Amino acid sequence: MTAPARTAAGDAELLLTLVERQLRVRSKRSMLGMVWPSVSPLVMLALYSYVFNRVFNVPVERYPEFLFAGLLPWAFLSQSVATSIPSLSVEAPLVRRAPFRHELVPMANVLAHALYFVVSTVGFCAYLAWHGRLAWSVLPALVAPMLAVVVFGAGLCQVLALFDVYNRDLRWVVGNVLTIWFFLLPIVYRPQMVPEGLQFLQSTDPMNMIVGQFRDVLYYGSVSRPGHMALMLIVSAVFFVVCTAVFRRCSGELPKDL
Amino acid sequence: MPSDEIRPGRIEIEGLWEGYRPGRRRRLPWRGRWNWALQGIDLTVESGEMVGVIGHNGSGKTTLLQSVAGVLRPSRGSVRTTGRVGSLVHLDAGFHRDLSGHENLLIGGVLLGMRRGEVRRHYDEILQFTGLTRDELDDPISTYSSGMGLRLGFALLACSRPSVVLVDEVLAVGDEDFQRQCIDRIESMLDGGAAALLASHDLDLIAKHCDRVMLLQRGEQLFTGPTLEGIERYHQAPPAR
Repeated sequence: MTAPARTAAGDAELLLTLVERQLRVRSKRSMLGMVWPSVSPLVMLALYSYVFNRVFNVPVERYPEFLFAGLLPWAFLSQSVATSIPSLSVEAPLVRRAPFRHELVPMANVLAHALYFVVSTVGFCAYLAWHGRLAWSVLPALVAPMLAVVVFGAGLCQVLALFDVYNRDLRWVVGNVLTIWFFLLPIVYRPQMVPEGLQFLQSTDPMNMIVGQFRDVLYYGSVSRPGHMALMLIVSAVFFVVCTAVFRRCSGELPKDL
Repeated sequence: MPSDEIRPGRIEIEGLWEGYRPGRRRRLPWRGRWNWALQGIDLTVESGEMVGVIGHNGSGKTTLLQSVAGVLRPSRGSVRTTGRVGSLVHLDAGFHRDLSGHENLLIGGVLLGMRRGEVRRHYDEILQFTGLTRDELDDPISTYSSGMGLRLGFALLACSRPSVVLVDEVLAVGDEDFQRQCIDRIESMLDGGAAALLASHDLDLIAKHCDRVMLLQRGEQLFTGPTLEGIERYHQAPPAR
């Protein structure tokens, strides 16, 4: 064994410190540094509301609310992925110079975005409550999809960040995959509008389940698929464990390869 | 409040090989041939002992210290250390140029194995050791000189009460007074039971403070033994290509 054994509590403190560092760095040399990640979903909301509600006239009541309920978890995931992919390469000096679990770098990135995600979600809930459209009784059910998307994102981002060290083509590939993935998810349209051949995604794609749960709670004010919620948590947890195992298996030479 | 006593340190290196595979970059992680930076190193450093690591550029001194620090995983063999490892192989591990000295202390300290509360508790001691003012510590470290960065890094190392101390060439950056201060602090750590490795091209420094030396040449352990004899062998050894 080489690295000085850091306890789980020590790892947690380091993770917390890395998150804090990320947030502090983001606020330097920028007037709106901390605010930018929250601005992005609002820009997407305005743009997609105009295109799909006004131009294409998608037949959905209260379309901006319908859209934002699905957009929240997606914006978190896509921003986390986009900024986590180069995270290990960007933090090369840190990885090359200090002994610690390297998966904490992309995970800190995901957790920093999770803070914005929570703030945006609370803000949206406040907006719904203000207009009397928040179903308070089912609100606790939102914890499960929020937890699931953060765990799923943390798993995905650590593996992508690791493989980006070895192949920069990944950045381009993932950028395109995210675009395709976004339009395969029923975020800008209703799940019922999905062609029959792609209906299977609703029960196999974790993000599809997460978006569905978000919309159930925030838009429809119900928890219609409790089985999906449990499955979604299990899938996300298993995915995270597998990704962490892959990262640890393949990252042994990381300080030398960066 | 944790005790300020240092737990006795020990370094045990057995058959350490450390290899790089240049071909791995930009390819699949399991491909590429090996370039050996260290070849079969054996060394034990006992509590209270400081061993100098000497060798020409490219001999593997920094790689050895990085392996002992736990940054690099041995390709073959093993490295065992006892207690907290304090590494000053790089001045600025974890430091971000846009953050202030104060903000960087926290991440630097946690990376050295300190708890966040411990870093905060030692804040005044760190400040005193660096010789920097509170205002200077609130400036971004991009405005610091190399010497100021060294002061910050070493102060943090000293306050982390390491059992194993690893110091690379970085001391050369500091002025004479601060170098003296650093060496005095390392010696007090050794008196407290720490074990130390000091890699340097400053042979006077090595001769004055190290109990033994290890001479490396292109990753091979050419000599380990009495300091003056090792230095003599160093002068005879041809520089790396």
